[in-house]
Amino acid sequence: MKADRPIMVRAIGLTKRYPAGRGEKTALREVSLAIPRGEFWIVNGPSGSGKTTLLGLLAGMIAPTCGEVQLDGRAITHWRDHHRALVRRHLVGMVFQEFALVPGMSLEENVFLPLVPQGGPDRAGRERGRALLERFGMAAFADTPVERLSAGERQRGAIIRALVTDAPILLLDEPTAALDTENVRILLELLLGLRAEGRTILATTHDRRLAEDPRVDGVLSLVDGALEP
Amino acid sequence: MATNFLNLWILARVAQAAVSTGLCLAGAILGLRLVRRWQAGQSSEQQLALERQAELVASVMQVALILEVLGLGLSVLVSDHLVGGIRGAMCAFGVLASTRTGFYGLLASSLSAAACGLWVVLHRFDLRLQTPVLTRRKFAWLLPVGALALGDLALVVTFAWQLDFKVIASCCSVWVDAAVVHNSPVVQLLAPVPAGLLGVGAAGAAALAAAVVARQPGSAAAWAASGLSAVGPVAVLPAVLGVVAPHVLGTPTHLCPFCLFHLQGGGLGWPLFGSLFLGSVTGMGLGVVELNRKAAGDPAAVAAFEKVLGRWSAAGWLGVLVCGAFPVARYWLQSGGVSVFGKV
Amino acid sequence: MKRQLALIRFALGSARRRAGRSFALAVALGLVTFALSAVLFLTEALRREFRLAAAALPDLTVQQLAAGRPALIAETHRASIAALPGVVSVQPRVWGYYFVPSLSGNFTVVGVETGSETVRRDLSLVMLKGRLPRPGASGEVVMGEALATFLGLDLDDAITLPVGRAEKRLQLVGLFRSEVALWTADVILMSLADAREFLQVPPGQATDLAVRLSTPDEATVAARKIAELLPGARIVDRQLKTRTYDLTFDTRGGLLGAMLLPALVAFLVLAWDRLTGVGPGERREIGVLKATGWRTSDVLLARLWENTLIGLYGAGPGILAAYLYVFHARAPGLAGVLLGWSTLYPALRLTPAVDASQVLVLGCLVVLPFVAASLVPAWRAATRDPHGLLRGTA
Repeated sequence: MKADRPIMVRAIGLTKRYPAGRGEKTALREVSLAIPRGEFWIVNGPSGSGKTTLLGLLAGMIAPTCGEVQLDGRAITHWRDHHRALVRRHLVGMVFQEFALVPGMSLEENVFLPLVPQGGPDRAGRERGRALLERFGMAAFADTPVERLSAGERQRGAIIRALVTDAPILLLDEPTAALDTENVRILLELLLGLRAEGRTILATTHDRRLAEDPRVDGVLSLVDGALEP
Repeated sequence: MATNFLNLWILARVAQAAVSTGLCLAGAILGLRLVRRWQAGQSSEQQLALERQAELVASVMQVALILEVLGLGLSVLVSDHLVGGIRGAMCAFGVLASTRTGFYGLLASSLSAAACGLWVVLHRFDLRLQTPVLTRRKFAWLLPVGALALGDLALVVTFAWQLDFKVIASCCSVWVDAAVVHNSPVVQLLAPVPAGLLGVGAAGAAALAAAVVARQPGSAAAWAASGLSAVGPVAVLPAVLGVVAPHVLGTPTHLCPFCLFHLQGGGLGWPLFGSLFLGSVTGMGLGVVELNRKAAGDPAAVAAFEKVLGRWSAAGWLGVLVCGAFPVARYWLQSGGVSVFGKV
Repeated sequence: MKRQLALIRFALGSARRRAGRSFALAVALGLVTFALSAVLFLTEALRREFRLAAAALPDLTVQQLAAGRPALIAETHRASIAALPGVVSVQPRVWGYYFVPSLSGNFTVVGVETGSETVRRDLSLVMLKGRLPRPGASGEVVMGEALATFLGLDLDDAITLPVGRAEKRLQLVGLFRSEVALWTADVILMSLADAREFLQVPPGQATDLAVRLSTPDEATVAARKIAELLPGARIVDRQLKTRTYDLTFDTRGGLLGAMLLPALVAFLVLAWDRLTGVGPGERREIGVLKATGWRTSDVLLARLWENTLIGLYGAGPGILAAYLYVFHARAPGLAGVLLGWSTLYPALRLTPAVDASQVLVLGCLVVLPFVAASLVPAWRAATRDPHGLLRGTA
């Protein structure tokens, strides 16, 4: 961790409990982390350890039972639902498990989906989207319905969609789950390139190919909802 | 009479009023349920869910606003359509005047539409704030809005029921003639010079005040603009009747506002009254923002929103001035400078 | 505005992706709209036709009553009525109904001054084929096409009809244009003398007196004065006729419309049912939208636009089909209901009288309730939590 960089993603004592049967299930316990700007971190853990819940809290999609989330120095925990959506519009780009592209829409339509409520892509947004498609080698598939793309192509499409709003923070949930070794390698190179541009990246995984790569800036282990020291 | 409801036009108006009232009432009921469980400042999952439902209520009310405004237009169109069935009625005026509730219904529709508009202004203001501090009072305001909508529906249904195609209605000129005979002060108010001056003054002042707010928002300016927008419609009406209508219709004694909606009059009534509604509701919205300034606790958000409202209000009142001046100018040009009133 | 346009484009895409459901709803909506539109268009067109024709009617029609039934009126009353202030002209008219057993119905016999240049000029505007009866000629008639067809007559053909104990030979010399069939379908036009003979109206008597006023709005005043002059007479003013037809068409159209309302309600129930079922794919799509920065209001608006577009897709063709049905196909089936019972139905060729206010009325009756009914299902979709939607737990 480079000491003089500002913290882009900070979690302080995040706890999330869900009702389960007659009692409660604790998905996260007192999780605290701080990721500086321009760094690439991994949260490693087995299935059911709370990785997706952690990303959901960091992106403002769900509210913690207690604790706080700060993005780019702003505490979003107490923000109203209306403004939390703006977090995902301007601060955070998310790549979901199984990519979450909308079937029936082309790749380009999926890419520009986050910009629709703002009136669709303006000139800058359109140029940015097209440049990203080119950079990720997906320009030829712009008009292809996403259900016809391979897993690796869909993964890249999902990343492009997450970047089209030029959000400084990128959160990825199990990005390598459906990828072969070659595509994992390509993905890693892309993410490292984004880090070099100054984006802050946090990816959850239980894939050792990603977690054990020496080029990531830090690895956190999440087990049964708690970070291991 | 019940058979009146078999008229497709009347049925359409009643359907529109029923749908918009239903939406207002649904919004009010949902809103009250939310308020009971509302925990401002909390960020629990339950609170987030309530906030999402609150957005539903707001969307429902915005649709209701569109329908209420549609209802105003439909009132005029339907009343105009029924002219053929009522003896003596020459336009919507005669049809509305043929029942006890016709004009009250129109007033109720106007108030209901304005109330919906002001609620939407409050909602949009609330959305700009970081925390939903205005949500409780916003939902509390849904009660009077819902009550007004219900009153509007009741009067629409009553009007439709009371319509009697055997009566003999009167044109507006009969009322004006009677007012002249009895030397009513209303007639003096409709005289071209005082009415014109009052109308231009009121609309101009409202436009100017709104423009000031749009440029330099502040409490005093916002209150002034709000007050002028509130009295503006009443102040402008004599000019519409006494100056605009005669110039549009080409007759010095034809003071009917409803005839302005006809094609023969160029349909000027639509942009004129549309601008009037826009200018007055957004102007009064400035007062709504000021009333909630302290509770909002965000001067920057207040100023930003007042600028937006000021722009819309100024545009509306400017539209009123243009729509009012256009027929006067056109008549003067076409007549070669001869006044429609003869010697003024 | 940009936001709304972008949401509309998205909504269009959504409707295409759920093509099956969208199509089913649009078709059902189109059928309901077609039915209501046809009733409305036909009603309005008939009202317009009548209003146009009514412009040529006399301001007042004076009939003598005997035992409460119309009887012949003496032409001598003409002078006293003409002397009233505001009366421009008083014309005696000879016309009546002739019952034909083979038709089991009446047709209308109208006598005109075939020697009058004004009358010949006015009538020539509505002629189709042939000519008017020659001045002074006897037995020459003009008919509506429907009646001529029914009697099996073509131009220059003749028919003999009983008149009292005698018979009269009538030669068809002209046919009315089909555009005026609404008014002339069952009319036989002949000279005044022939009409008197045919209807057995003696000289000095007339069926009624047609009165024209200098100020039609003073019809009530004039009618009162005529009633004082002729106690027992029935005075019918044109405005009353116009209003009666207006109300008649409105009522008949409304009755038909009311019969269609259950169909509309059934459609709304169908719409509610189809829209309420949000499948897993749709739920996930909403989760994606909310997770990528869409607010609840954005999702709700997109849904509303989608349903409005479906509404318009359905209503538009329905309105167009109704237009073609009424103004090109001449409303088979429906026209008879609105025109009332008759042995002879005219070939209905109506001038289109569709305006924006009618389309607005149709929108309020059909599209509006549909969009309102879709609000709750849209709400259910929009207010779900994005995290749960993506994981499939919401």
